[in-house]
Amino acid sequence: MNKKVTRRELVKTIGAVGATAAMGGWSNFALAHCKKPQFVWRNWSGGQECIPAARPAPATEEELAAVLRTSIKPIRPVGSGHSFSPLVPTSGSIVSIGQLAGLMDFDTETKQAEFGAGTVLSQVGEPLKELGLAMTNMPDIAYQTLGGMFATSTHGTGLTHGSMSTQIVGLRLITPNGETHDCSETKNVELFRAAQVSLGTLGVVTRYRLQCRDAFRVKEENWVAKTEDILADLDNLVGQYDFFEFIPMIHSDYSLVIAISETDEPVKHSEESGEEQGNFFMQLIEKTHKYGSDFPAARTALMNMVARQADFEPTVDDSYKLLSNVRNIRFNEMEYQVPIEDGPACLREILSLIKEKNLPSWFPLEYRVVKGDNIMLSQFHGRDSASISIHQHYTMDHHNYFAAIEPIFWKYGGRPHWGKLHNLNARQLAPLYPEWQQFQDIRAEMDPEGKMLNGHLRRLMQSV
Amino acid sequence: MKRVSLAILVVSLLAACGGETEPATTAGNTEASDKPSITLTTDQQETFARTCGLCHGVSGTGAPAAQDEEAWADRNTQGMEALLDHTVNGFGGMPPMGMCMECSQEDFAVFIQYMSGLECEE
Repeated sequence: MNKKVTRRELVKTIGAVGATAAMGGWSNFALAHCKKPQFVWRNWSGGQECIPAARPAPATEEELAAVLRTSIKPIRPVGSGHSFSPLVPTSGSIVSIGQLAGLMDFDTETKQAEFGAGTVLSQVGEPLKELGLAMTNMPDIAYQTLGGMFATSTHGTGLTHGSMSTQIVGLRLITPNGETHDCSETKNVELFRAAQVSLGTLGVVTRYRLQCRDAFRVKEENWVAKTEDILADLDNLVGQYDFFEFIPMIHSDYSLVIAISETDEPVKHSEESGEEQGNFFMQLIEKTHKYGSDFPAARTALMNMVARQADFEPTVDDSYKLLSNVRNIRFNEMEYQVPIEDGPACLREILSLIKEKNLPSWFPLEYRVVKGDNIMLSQFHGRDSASISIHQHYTMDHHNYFAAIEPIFWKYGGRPHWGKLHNLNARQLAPLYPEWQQFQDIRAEMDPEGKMLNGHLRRLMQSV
Repeated sequence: MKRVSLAILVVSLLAACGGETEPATTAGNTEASDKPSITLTTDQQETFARTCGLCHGVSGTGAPAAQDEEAWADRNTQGMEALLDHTVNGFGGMPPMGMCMECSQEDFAVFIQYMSGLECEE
């Protein structure tokens, strides 16, 4: 006699069969996530993300070589993850250079020092000071790694100072097939000039030898002035100060000037650190815009009033303590380098457009000057440049804001910062760099399979 | 910088209209607790120094100093899960992953425990 099946039992059985069937149909990715949550990698601003298959962190150059030979591709090296552009995201392997760090060698006679590429910039100043040395210049952000900084042609400011990569006198490159190449100004010269700025496309640079100078102190002076007055006197200001830049406050008529020069005055700290002063200033601007953006005229008047009353104390300290800073306000950034003679006109157009269209942002701009160099993929190749940055707070959408301004940069023949957001591809980038093809030839030789190229880099490096 | 009294008064009045306030930050208070919550291994110390320690071990960054009980007291009320989420996904001025590109969630939990004294939930 057959056993009668109740409706409840039938439903329960169907449910169990269905669950089993569903398990068998789950993707490997879903199953892997059940066993252990997949890790989403994000960059500093949170604007870039990916789910890499692996995140190795080799502790030695030998381990790195093995990782490069065997890792799931595309392989992307990462330092601090500070780049805003998608240089790092990959479904393959994100290789951290963090453990390849520290002072490795030095020569006080030649004033040269060698650091691991994973060394964070804020960890460079003290060891050099102990040797009586200092970097000749430093960029603003203190927590980027040397590797990321050099790979993307990062820079500070000062018309007698080239980009950070001009400080390199030697480096060690490990290619995707695990080969080691030592290069310098006198050895493997063409590979050296390519590797000084290479976006992590030739392999991974593991160490840099830097030309330093005697340790020195600097004096930082800050003041607020009308942007037009600064532009009218720009040549004089740039010539007068060793490291000069200004921060145009959008939706106002004023800019904050940051003027730093070498000094033999004794150390003098202001009541608050440079970071605290700068971060407080930014919070003030943010709140003014947050509650005033619906009333543009009132907002401009309030911004101008705040600007006129700002007062800063000069500071004197070791160069590495003032040239580079910790910034605790996250943002996304676009930056272009235009010929220095075109900088003021380019900036005026940008400020005018922001005002005319009431573009939704409150973050100040940044205007710096950098000396030209002869590095193949340096943004400053062959010309002194004005470096103009636009920013958007990380919680705000940047796409429309950046898209509205970017054509102004193109109009002046601007070159985008490799580590910051832009929309150019290989066909548009090639004419901007006289040695573009030389670099591509070297890249093809070092990485014939294209293991180091993610989607973004394929777009940058390879013409369609 | 001298406090811009009029501007601050105006902006403060505006801020009182609404919006979130972030937890109080600690500027420069690095006074350590008498009782560290856990002891890091040598490898963990090295990793901490080149990642979390770059902000949580330096004054003026706005980050709560490691083992500063007062700075962490309010934050700890959110629980380990919330602090872990902030670390992995970023929070305010803190970038996602706190500069440690290779750390696992377990690694982050250890560092949070080390800095905050918060026990990991079972």
